[in-house]
Amino acid sequence: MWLVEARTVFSRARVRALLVVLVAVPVFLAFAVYLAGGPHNGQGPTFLDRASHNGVFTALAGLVVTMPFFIPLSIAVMAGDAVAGEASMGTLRYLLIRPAGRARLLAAKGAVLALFCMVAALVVVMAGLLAGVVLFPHGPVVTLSGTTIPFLDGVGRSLLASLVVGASMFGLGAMGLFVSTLTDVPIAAMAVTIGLVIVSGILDGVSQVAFLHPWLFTNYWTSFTDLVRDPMHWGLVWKDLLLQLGYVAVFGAAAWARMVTRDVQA
Amino acid sequence: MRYLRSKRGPYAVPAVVVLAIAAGTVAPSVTGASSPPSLPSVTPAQLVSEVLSAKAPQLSGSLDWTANLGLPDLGALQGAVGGGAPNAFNPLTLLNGTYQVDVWLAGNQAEHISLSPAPGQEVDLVRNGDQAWFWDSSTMKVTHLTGLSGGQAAPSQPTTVPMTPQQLADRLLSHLGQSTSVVVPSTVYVGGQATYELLLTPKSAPGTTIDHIEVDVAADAPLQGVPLQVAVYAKGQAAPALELGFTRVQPGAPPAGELTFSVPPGATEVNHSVSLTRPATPAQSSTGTGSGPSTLGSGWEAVRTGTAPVLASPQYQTQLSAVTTVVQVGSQQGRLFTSELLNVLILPGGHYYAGFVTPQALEAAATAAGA
Repeated sequence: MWLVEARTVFSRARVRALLVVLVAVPVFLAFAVYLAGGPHNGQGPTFLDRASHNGVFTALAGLVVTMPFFIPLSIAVMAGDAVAGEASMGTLRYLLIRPAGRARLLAAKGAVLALFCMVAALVVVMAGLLAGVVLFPHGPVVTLSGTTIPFLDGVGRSLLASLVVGASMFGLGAMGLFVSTLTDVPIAAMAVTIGLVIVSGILDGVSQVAFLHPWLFTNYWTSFTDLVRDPMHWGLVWKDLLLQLGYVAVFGAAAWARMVTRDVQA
Repeated sequence: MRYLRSKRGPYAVPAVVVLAIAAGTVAPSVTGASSPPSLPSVTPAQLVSEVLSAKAPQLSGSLDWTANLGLPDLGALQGAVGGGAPNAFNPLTLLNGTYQVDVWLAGNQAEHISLSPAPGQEVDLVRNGDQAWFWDSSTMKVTHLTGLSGGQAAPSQPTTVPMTPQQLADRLLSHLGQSTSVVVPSTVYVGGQATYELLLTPKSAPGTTIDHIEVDVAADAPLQGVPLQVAVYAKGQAAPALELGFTRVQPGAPPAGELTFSVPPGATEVNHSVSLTRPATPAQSSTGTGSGPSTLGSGWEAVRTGTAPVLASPQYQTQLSAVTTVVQVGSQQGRLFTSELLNVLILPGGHYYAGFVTPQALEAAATAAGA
């Protein structure tokens, strides 16, 4: 069932289109920096001034640029569509006729959504690495600590960063899945989910609610940048993953509760 | 399975999950993470003498620096202080928030301090012998200082009046005792190390903003006598206004690789040679008109005063007005910079009054001084 679900989801044209956009952003970024020259040291978004120094930083700059919007947007689209999409198409009823049960259907939806989170972050880094290696030098990588590590070590760290970014989206995915169980209108579920990202991002910037910040699911989204320090710093990454786990537990349970009590008419 | 048939039953599960997370978060702070270490009791004088006789430590570790000063938004000062590239490290950012600081200390010989002021940025200060490097990752700039007085070459200065740390501690405490109550009320673990807590509380000083200061001193070798945590509490605040303390301590010589710095490819290096031999006569103030600072009052209520023409210069007035409020002092209009600890009163002409005292105490000092 999970395999079938994964195959169905990843063969959809709109899902492929989302992934194409995620590939296009770092590639476009790399070409823009290559043609126009990147910002000078100490200017522009994090890592963008280094994108032309090394292919590894092209990939990381791609992550920094896609993390606040493009990746969450694609997660929101996928999560919002997960259950509400089936309901709006009238296929949810038929899915539930099978003996698999509602809980297992939800679990399959959640697992495929988690897979999509990982794939989304991975394609950004892979595309960034490819574009960066083609256009820019690929020698030893200068870490944020000013030390130099071998290129392959740098590639490994950027792939690790993509895993962390993918896992950082689990909380958002769980909330999106819950919202998706509430409605039969997928576009509403997507809008609400992306709204959550925006609200959390705004709250994260308001110092008057600093006590809330450690609980906001967007708060540690930038923690992957600590993996480019030397030695690597895992403190914020673990906090991030723990927080995402909490969100998955709460909203996964809520989605389950909604799913098993829901009147499925369509 | 009856509960599944009810419309509300299943929602108990997410509710229980939320409660479990809340309980898991709150429980450690309520029950106390661990009981305090049991250590033989010491007098403040013994503890201070341990601090004075402690050797420069050898360790690797992490500290948390927390500043909770209730400052106005210092963004307006960015241009005046940060300088250069917009992402360059601005030390003022450290006056607000919590930052993890990693340190590698090798006695007097070398040290390495590293922190991340913003995501994707790291600044490092490495000193080894007579040279030091300052690295800012966002600008890829290395400032290389040479000619520092090498720590290893400096033997302990023979003092004219030989004093043991114990005598020095006694003298220090008898001097401090007039204004401050010094006690060792408790023990606490800091970064996994057993420490004595030295508590300094101002005596009969209603004007000061400082409620008390805690210094946690390691009790056991090899770090015996090394302060591992310092916290300054402002009056009326439960959380410290400033706190610097170890969260992880690993005694022993740090890896040699952390105690040196080689300029990475692509970085710009700026070299400075530092001469620490002081000129025979104090250098003339570059402004010429600024009068030397002096101190009014004593102890916790001391107020530094002086004249800094830069505070009156027109080019900084916009920045200054962004971080201060206007107050009336006598017949003059002054500007007041307030925080939980430090307050500064600036009068026309660049006369300033600064201290860890309340704004009222500053205004009183200014009035008494004839402002």
